[in-house]
Order: sequence, then C-alpha cells, then structure tokens
Amino acid sequence: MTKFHLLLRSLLLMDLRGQHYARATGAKPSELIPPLYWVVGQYLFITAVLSLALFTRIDVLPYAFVMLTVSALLSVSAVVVEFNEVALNFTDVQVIGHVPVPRRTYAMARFANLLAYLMLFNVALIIFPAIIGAGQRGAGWEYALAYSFAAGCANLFFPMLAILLYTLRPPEPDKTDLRDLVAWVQIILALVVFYGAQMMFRDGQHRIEMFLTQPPDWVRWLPTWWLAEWVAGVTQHTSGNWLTIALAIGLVTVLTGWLTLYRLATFYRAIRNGYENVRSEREPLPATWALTLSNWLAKTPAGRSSIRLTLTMLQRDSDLRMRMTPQLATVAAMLLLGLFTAQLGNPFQAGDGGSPASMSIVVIALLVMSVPTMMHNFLYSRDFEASWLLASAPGGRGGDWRHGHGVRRVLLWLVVLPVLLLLGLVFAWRWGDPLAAAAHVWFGWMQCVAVSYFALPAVGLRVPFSEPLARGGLGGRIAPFLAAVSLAATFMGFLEFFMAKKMLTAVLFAGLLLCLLVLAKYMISAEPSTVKNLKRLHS
Amino acid sequence: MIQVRDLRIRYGQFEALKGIRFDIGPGEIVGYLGPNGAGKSSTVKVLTGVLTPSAGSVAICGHDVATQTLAAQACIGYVPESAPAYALLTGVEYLDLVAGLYGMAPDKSTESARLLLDAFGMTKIAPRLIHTYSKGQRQKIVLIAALLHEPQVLILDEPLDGLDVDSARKVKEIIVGLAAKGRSVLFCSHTLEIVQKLCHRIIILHEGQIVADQPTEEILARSNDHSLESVFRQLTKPETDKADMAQIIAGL
Repeated sequence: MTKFHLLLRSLLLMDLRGQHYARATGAKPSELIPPLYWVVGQYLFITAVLSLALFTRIDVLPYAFVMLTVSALLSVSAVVVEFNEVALNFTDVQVIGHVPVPRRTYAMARFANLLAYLMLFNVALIIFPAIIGAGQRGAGWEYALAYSFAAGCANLFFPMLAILLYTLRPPEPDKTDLRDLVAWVQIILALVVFYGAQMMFRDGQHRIEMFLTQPPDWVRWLPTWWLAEWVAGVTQHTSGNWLTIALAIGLVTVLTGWLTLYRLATFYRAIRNGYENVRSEREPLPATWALTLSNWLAKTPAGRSSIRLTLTMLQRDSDLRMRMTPQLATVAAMLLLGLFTAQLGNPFQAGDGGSPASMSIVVIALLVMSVPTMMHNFLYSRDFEASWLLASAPGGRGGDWRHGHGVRRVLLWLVVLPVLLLLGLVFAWRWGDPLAAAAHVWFGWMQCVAVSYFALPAVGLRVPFSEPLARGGLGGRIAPFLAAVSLAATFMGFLEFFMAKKMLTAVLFAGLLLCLLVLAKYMISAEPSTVKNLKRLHS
Repeated sequence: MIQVRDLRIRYGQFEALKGIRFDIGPGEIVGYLGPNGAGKSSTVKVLTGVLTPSAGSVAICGHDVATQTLAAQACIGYVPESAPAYALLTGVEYLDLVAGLYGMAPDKSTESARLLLDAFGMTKIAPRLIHTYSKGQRQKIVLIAALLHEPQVLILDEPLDGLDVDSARKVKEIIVGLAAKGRSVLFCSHTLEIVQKLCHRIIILHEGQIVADQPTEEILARSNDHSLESVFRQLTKPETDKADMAQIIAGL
C-alpha cells in the first residue's frame, strides 16, 4: 500500500468512528456508533420527508429547486461544522508531523478524505429526491439522471466554495464563531423544513405551494434556481444546449475542487511549519463584569468560583455551545413557523378574534423543556479529568449543590433570560400588547426556574464538566425526568391557554407557578427523601 | 548522526533558541535537559522536521532536515511527550499505519510489531481502540511505533512517563542495547536520576542557550555532592533559592 492509501484508510476509519457519537466505554471498533451513519440517516430522512411532502404538489422546476437548495445548504453546513475534522486537522502535526510523509501526499490524502465525506452525503441527499422526483407528472428517468448530476455537482461545488470563503482568513484551531453560527442555521433549517412540510398538509390556502410555484424575483437569481431550470429543461426537452451547460457545470465544479485542494495544501504546509503553535485565545472575560455578575448571582466564594468557571467554559468551549444549539434552535424554529403561519396569537385575548395562540404557548413550553437538557450538557467536557478539583473541594461530590447552582444560574440568567426577553419583544410587536407579552414571558421564566431546580438532582449536576464527551447521556437515567418535564410543560401550556383569558384565572395561574417555584426551591435545599433517592441513582 | 549548527528559533519577537550547536555520534546516549521553557521542545521539533528553524542547520544521518526532510525523518524514531496518537485507531491499526508510512515491508513490520508488543505486554491490548488505553499503555504503543522501523536515531521526550517499573526497565535496556549497536539517542527528561544513570553525555539548555555539554562524569564533578541536580540548579539559577523557599514554606 502506498503512503497515500495508508493515510486515507486511517482517515476514513477515524471518520467512521468519530468520537462525537461514540459510546464512552466502547473498546472495540465494532462497539462504536459511527456518527456518519447518524448524519447520513438524518439526511435521508429529511430529504425523504421533503420529497414526499412536495410530491405532486408542485411542478418539476420548483420541486428541483427546493431539493437542490436544501441539500446544498445541508452539505455546506456539514463541511463547515466538521471543518477541523475533515478538512484541516491541526492535531495531525502532533501525531504524524515527524513521520516521513511528503506534504503533497498528506494534502491529497486529506483532500480525498474530504471528497469521500462529501460523496457520502451527496448520495444520501440525492437518492430520494431523484427517485421520488422522477415519479412526478412530466418527469421520468431523465429527471432522475439530470437531477443526480446537478445535485452531485452542487453538493460538491457549494461546500468547496464554502471552504474557500471560510479559509479567506487563516483558520485557527480554537476559532469557532462561524462554525457555531452555521450549526445554528443548519438545525433551524432542518426543523423549519420538517415542521413546515407537515404544516403544508394542514394549510388550506396552500401558501407554501403558491410561494414555490410563483417565487419572487430574487429567488430566480439563486444558483440552485438556475440548476433547477437546467434539470427541468432536460426533463421536459425544452433545453437545446443542455449538454453544453452540463459540461460547464462539471467544469466549474472541477475547477473549484482544484482551487480548494490548492488552498488546503497551503494550509497543510503552514500547519507543518509550526502553524499549530499559533493559537487564538479569546480575550479573557472583563474582570469587572464577570466579578460583578458572579458576586450578584452567588453569595459565597465557592459559588462565585463555580459561576466564573461556568461563564468561562460557556464562552470558550464551542462544543458546549454546540450541544445546546439543538434545544434553542427548536425554539427559534417554532417561533419562525409561528410568525410565518400566523399562529403567534395573544393567549390573554379571549374570543375568536386574532390568530390562534397555540404557537405562542408552544414556544415557551419548548424553552421550558430545553432547560434540563441544557443543564445536562454541562456535565460533559473534554477537560473532564480536571474535575477532580471541584470534586475534592468543599461542596464537591459528598456535599451540596453549590456547583450545580452555579451552572443553573449562569444558564438561566445568561441563556434563558435573553431568549425570553427576545421572545417578549417579538410577542409585544406581534400582539401590540407589551403587558401581555411581559406576563406571558414571566410565566415562562417561572417555569424555567422551577424546572432548573428539579433538574439538579435528576441530571446529577453535582460536579459540572466531570464526564467525558459522549453521546448516549440522554438515555437511561434522565429520560424519565425529561418525559415528565415534557408532560408537565405541556400541561402548564394547556392551563395557560385556558386560564390566561380572564384576569382572575390568570392570577390563579401565576399563583400556581409561584407555588411550584417555592416547592422546587424547598426540595433542593431541604433534600427530602425523594431527592436523596435520585442522588443515590447517580452515586 | 545528529549535527546541529547555529540553530535559532524565533516565535515573533521571542527567541526560543539562540544559536545552539551540538553533535551526537553513533552509539551515544545524550541527555538533553533544561528548565521549562528553555527550548527543549523547540529543538526536538526542528530535529524531527516538524518546525523550520529561523536560522542554522540540522543534519540527521547526513541528511539536512530542511532540504532532505523525508530522508532525515526516515532515520528517526520519535517518542513525543504525552504520547499523542490517533485515539480512534486500535493499537494494531496505528502500528500498521506507522510501519507503512516508514516504508516497512508488511511481513517484517508484522514480526517486529509482534515482538515489541509481546515485550511490553501489549499483545492483548493492541486490538483495542487507543482511546481506551491507560496513560502507560498509550506511552507503550507510541514507544513501539518509534522502535518499529529500527531507526538509526532515537529522540525520546519523557519516554518513561506513565510506565510501570518493569516496562521502564525494559525501555532502558532497549535504549542501552540500541546504543551498543551504534544507534544515537537523544533523551529528554526531567527525571535527573535516570538521565544520570543512562546517558553518556549531558547537554543542559537554559534560556535558549547551551550552558553545559560534557560527559556525565565531568558534569557530575562540577558539584561537591556529585549530584546532577546540584549542577543543574547551579547552571540554570532558579529564581527561588533556599532562603526564599524557607520563607514560602513558613507562610503556608
């Protein structure tokens, strides 16, 4: 085997065993859950749902446009999010920097690995749209071929273009701003597509189909619209020079690939020249700001230390932020859908006037449900071995919840509260009633605070950042608690829906929430037997 | 086997190495010591072809590391500090990869790997993923990878870190045995007792400059108690001396 083949084989093996989804105790390769399979499965699912939802509802051209756009966006976001793993891996220097591998061979192996990654996603993104699309009226086998070619090129071209743009400034191992943003967009997009697709069936006015069939002018300037026009032209035999255009598409894709290889090879050379020594470091938190916040949120030195640690980890650990992304993205997706489908009505308004208030309540309920999951994420860290410090300090494993409270407060005041304020602004704008918006958001805040107290023992957040990064934590011990929170949040949503319409019942609802909050606080501070039993589960 | 001439490394305004110069001949085991931040890691990175020097030259087995990098690297067996390895490969896969990258024939590499895995008690562990290894097991697998292709030059950075007593003894025996066969060894460690016993010669680096480069006996003769620690302290002048230490301890 040549060095290229050896390297490529190892890189592909590691892609298939990517640690993000590995079971922490998996010792043999067969015990790992390959993360690529999860992602491929997700992409197959998303494209299948979308293809079926749009099947025979719109014509060939808009159908191709939607599928091409969605798959291009998904493949771009996959590459950007996984950039440090599939395109430019700074840790390679430590492992094989001293090994006699020509730089060109290394660059080719990395590029081939990237291509393999993209091709795998390509197949997942093309299969269903091509096959199902071919069954459309006026389509046929030519559609499947043309779409496969167009999508294949697009799903290579756009990710490589993204890499070229992403590497306009030298990538740094710890800079993850763009990656975080793209991950957010990707998840919101997937949720909007999924929920939007199912809403299409319930929309009597067919607004989505109308939008796609007669899109505004700006849509026709998108590259995926041009590709879709080519696909439709080939399918319906209306394009005379389809072969020339196909050659041009292929050529552009190949050229972009060559440019990307050249660009990445430049960075590989820089990495091997000690570029890995250049580390970007976030500016430390402004001392006065962090001190003021930690002083305000905690009353003891240990509590303040926990809060400062949590603040710093939240700021610098992009993995931690990424793990919270799906929960908050769900809230954002529902808000967008509510705005788009005019279901973001005022729950305090009685009668049938105005929009339904269901989504306004669902958005808050989803945020409440996300709190324990987000708290759970704070258990995990790459630096889990350093947790001996918290565990052995007063208030560690055998003590109280002081460190867990630190996490809880940071999460509530720095994450949940800003989200609620933003939601409040949207509601106030939508309803024209700031007071109602404030009350609605305040109901949400009370529920989030109460859930956060209950989540401490349920999640076992005694020593944060103490467990190695591994998926699978949402199963097992905390699944029943999450199910209970979902039921409770849904129930509270129903209660608000019915009780908010009259002043007296609204006040009663507020009182109920206050009682819930007091009960939660009492349970954690007093640690009655139920909480102790939960504690025993985690020891 | 190793020739370093006027080696300089600059990181921006900071000069990590200030024109150092030394040779290591066949059969020599040379200890390379220095306080934290002295420039040891930078030297090793240049020797192994990972870092390009700002000035100066390095030759390994007669190959200039800057212009004949691949040939120079092929002569080296390197054990980095903290034993980084691809955690998602098994030990066997990792050794296969290394053997192939060093151009070893498959049957030869299989036999060498089998012998070394057996010697270090890693035969049953090797089929498992590296991320499940203990610190010592990871160190062993990286050591085996460095020895696999029978390098002419060994560069070892804290190679005994995490090893049990028996494995540490085996590594020391291997080092001495390889030197007896004419290989050159550069041994970096903070454990002065081991360096004192193992090395024929000791180079001490301080603030980017070599402050001592002598046979071990001569270095030890520089202090009254024949202790490498005393010589090291004397030459590197740590900021905290005895009087300061007493004050610090009194305050604890």
